[in-house]
Amino acid sequence: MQRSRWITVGVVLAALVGGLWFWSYNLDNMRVRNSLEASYQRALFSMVGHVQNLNTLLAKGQVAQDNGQAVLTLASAWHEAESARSSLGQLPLGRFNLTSVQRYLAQVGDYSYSLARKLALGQSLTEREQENLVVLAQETNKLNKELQQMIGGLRSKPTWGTRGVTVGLKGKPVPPAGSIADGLAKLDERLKDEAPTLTYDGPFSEHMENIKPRAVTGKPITIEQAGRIAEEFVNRGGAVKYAAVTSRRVGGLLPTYSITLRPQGGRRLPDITVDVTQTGGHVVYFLNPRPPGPARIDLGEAVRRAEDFIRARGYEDMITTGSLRHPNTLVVTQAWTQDGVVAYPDFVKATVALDTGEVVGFDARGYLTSHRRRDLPSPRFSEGAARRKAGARMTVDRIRPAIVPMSDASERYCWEVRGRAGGQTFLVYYNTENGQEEKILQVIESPDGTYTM
Amino acid sequence: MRKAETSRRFLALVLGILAIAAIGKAQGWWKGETEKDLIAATSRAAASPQVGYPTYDDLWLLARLVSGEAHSEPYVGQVAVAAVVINRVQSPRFPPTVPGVIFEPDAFESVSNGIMWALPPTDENMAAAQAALDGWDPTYGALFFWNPAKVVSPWIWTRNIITSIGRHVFGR
Repeated sequence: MQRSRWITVGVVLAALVGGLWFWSYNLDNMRVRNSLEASYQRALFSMVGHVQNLNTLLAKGQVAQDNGQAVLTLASAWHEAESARSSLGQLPLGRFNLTSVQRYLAQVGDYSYSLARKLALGQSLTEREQENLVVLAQETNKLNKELQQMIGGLRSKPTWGTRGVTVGLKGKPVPPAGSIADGLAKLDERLKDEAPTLTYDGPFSEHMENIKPRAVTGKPITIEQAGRIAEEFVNRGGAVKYAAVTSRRVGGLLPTYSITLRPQGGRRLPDITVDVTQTGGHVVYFLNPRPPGPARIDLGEAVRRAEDFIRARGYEDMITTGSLRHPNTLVVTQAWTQDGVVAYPDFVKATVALDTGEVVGFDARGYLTSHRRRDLPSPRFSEGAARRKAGARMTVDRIRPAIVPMSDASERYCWEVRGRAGGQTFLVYYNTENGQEEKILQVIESPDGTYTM
Repeated sequence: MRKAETSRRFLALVLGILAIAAIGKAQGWWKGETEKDLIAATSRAAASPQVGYPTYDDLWLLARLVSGEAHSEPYVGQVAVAAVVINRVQSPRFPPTVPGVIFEPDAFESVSNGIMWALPPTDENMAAAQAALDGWDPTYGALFFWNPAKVVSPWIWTRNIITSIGRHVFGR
């Protein structure tokens, strides 16, 4: 009698505790779900709001007559477009790969920014640029209307459409009709076909997606030849000899053979990778993934090792332009010089292991992409003029001519002025043609090396 | 009399257990393993005296993603995964920051299932992330990668395939 009472009490107790746990668990779960949902909804409605603002600003941009007003309007348009992109990237729709909406917004913003920059530098817009602006404003207006329709028709909480997805043409996931994903997928499809292609001086311009490497010259080589080139590259001056064991074809914009090399003579070291271009047999990358031990050699010695390595691989007229220290390695950057002019885009990097001073990495992608002999007109803006212009704001330490890359991969022939102001070091670039200030970099000197921001 | 006393004792016991349970919950005694790992890994990274070994920035997030997506891949395959993130950051088709790309909902399986936070990144993962940040891109511009042995959207095969490294196919 007594015993069965104990059991009853035990069961009731267990049920009570279990029920309480389940109730609080459910409550927690619901709160988590709701807060996640809230952040998704916030992103959605923010995105729609930013597109609306973008639409208004682009409309105003067409009417603005004064440069100052136009710069403000276009710069704000860039800001709104970037904000819309950021919100779009937070929607729970990653599996639908809505990349065309992202790309459209990125290009509208980037294009507005490039026009604002032009106006701010005192130039006026060409007829073509005006027309592009009109087209973008119309496109954005359409996008805005579609988004407003999608959101404006809502009478209850929007559904995302991540459930009940079917497979459509070319295996593309198709969300259920009427969902947010459905609406955005349709927009994406339309923008993919209709968005104007724009070539201009910004990082998201159309031409940036297909940059052809300029220095990859020569005849096509075989995979066996690539193996021999890789062996020669790695074994020159090295104590351990390596032999090519496997290779892999790499397509894309810079087709290469990726060669794996194994140490010979039973040495227990990791395999090395060397990528050799299928045209001309140029080495793009070399990487020895051996983890370096604690740093022992000094940084000056490491820089010399990198310079020797690069010279021994046939690169001439290179100067060291910077170095960056990681815990046990040093990455040294060198650029080509054309008759004393530093061609920054033509750079190679060598990574030195600071335990033995061995070079464990090499990267010539920059050099192979942009290297060529350039026509350099004699400067109309003189070195003395650059010194005077810079001297008004800082103490000038050094001036040298340089070719500098811009964000759209174009180049400017400039005077590079290195100077100090307020205890900080800067590099200022003046166009040798007209003295225009093309770029300002801050030089960060730290125990880890010198780099610019 | 004795019966009533027993039930009162029981009631006190029950209330006691519930009270302890409630306090425990509030104090977070039963936090998930992953959360503990995160805290441990973060404080480890923060306490590390090594130069240039950042805590909560791009390098560390990249290394985390590499550990989640490519922990059993060869070194080159690990660099390749980090390089895809960097290629996305530079592409107009994806968010413009490393965290923006990594945490884009449903973009990476190891973020969705939490594997990214399961283990602190190894030295090899860190080195791979660093190599990609230094400019090594074994994928030459790939924006997607997938494991053909796993269930993937058939759409992914419509991408232009650039190369395959280890168990992953890389495409654009």
